[in-house]
Amino acid sequence: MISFEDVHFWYGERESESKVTPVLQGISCVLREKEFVVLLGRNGSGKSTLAKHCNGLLLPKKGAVLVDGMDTRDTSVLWEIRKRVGLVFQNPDNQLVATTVEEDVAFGPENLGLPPAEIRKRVDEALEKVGMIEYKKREPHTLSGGQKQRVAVAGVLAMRPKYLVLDEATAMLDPEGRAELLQLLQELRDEVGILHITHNVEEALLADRVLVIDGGRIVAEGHPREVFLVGRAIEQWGLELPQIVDVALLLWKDYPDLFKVLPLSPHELVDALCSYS
Amino acid sequence: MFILVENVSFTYLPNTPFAVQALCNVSFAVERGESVAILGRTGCGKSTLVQHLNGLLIPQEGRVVVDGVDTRVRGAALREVRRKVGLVFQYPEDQMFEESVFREVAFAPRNMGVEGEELENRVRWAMTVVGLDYDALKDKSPFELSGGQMRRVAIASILSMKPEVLVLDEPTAGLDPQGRTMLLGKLWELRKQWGLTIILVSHNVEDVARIAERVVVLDKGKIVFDGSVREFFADEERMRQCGIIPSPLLQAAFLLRRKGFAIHPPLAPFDFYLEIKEKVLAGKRPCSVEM
Repeated sequence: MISFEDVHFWYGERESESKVTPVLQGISCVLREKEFVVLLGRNGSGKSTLAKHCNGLLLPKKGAVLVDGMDTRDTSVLWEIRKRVGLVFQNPDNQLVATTVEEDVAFGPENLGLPPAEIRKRVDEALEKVGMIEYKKREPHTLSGGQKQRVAVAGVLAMRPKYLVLDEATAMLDPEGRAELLQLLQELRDEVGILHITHNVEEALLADRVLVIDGGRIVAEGHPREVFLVGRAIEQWGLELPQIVDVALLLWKDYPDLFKVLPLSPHELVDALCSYS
Repeated sequence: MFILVENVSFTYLPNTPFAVQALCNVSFAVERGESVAILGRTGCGKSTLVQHLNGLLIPQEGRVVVDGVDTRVRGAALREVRRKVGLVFQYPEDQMFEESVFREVAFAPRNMGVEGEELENRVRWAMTVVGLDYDALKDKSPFELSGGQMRRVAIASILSMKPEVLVLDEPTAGLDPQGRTMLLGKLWELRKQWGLTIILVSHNVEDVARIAERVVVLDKGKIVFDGSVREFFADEERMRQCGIIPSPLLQAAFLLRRKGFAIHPPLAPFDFYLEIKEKVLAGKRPCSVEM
């Protein structure tokens, strides 16, 4: 479990010196093993700062972040924490460093000092998992955005992490690339804990649990069916309702017995409409 | 005819083993004041096409005529085409370099010889129409601003040339929902209040539904559809063939149509809500249970 305990963070030395308001103002939340959590927040809400706390890239100024009980401020366990928590960032062009896809994926395991046969095995497994094995000899710059992000995920998976944190990893992708990456996350959700950070509300519908962050605080938390019941009030956090939820809430007002639970997908909406009598 | 694209073909690295044909015999026309979306999957030729609209690329075959001027001319006439057709690239804030918002927005008109009060008026106007507070922001560094504000500074720096057409390549990419709604609203106002012609390049169906009236779809360098937004959204199979992923709203509408309901393709959630009430739930009475 990754656990945030009353985490405060600001950029700069002392809190009073900081020109901007604190970026994280008392965050408490958890990511459990094999759980799929989507963190939603507008630009500037603190969501990327939170992501960088998950593996000790940033350290809390107050409070603590614990990864399976290990404190990220304890330098003696930082290596172990970074093995367990893999990060994938926004820009697919900034993350791939090697000249071929397989070398890129091998970068992490090589740094673990693993024997070559083990590295080979892990690289192939990871590329297989993200559906990029037939591209292993390709140069990364010849891939599409979605393919690059899948390679970036493979690079993290080759470290055999328990948790995968994606910091706006879909933001720069086209709709096909986005769909590819989301499909991959769906396939991985039974194997690793996933924290997917985004401002795209439609992507939150896939989650086991949604966290909404605004002004450095967690302002809402729950299953997407619960969180989106706030309706248009979601705009106070700089977000919008997913389209299907928007329609469903309008209908629900006029027909109180139309739904038993809030529909999230086109299929759920249409099934409810067609079975209504 | 305001902008005429006639039988345009374009190949990158022609006569080499790496030759890629990006546009193949493309023809379409845009009238003054129209709002047109150019749609298509990545690599379909959208960006190549829009770079032809202001003479950044010159057709290898065919011609592009803007307000009576063929872009194959050189010199002053071509500069006038570039002023008339303002092109906003994808992630335009990556190209900003000035130390203040004022200097950034003033850059293009200053190069055109605009000075003094006229320059200040232009910058003020351009910032105001995209919803930026001139007095509060003019002296700030563009890099201190939020992503949505930077995007609007970049658009203002094109508007300050007083273009008649604004061509935007994926203008909402990377913006959060609020930034996106704000920007699309401003583009709509620019068209309604100032008569700007808007050409939007996108693969985002929701953006297209919000501001375009007409859709031109490119696939492998060819135009495969040119018609109204509603007409394009009515045909699921065609959308998918062109590599366009329908929005959740359209997916639900397609499902209902398959079940025999004559639902019009919705552009916004509220449209769809009204359609469902009229065509699916008509005659079914809500029971009196209180929520």
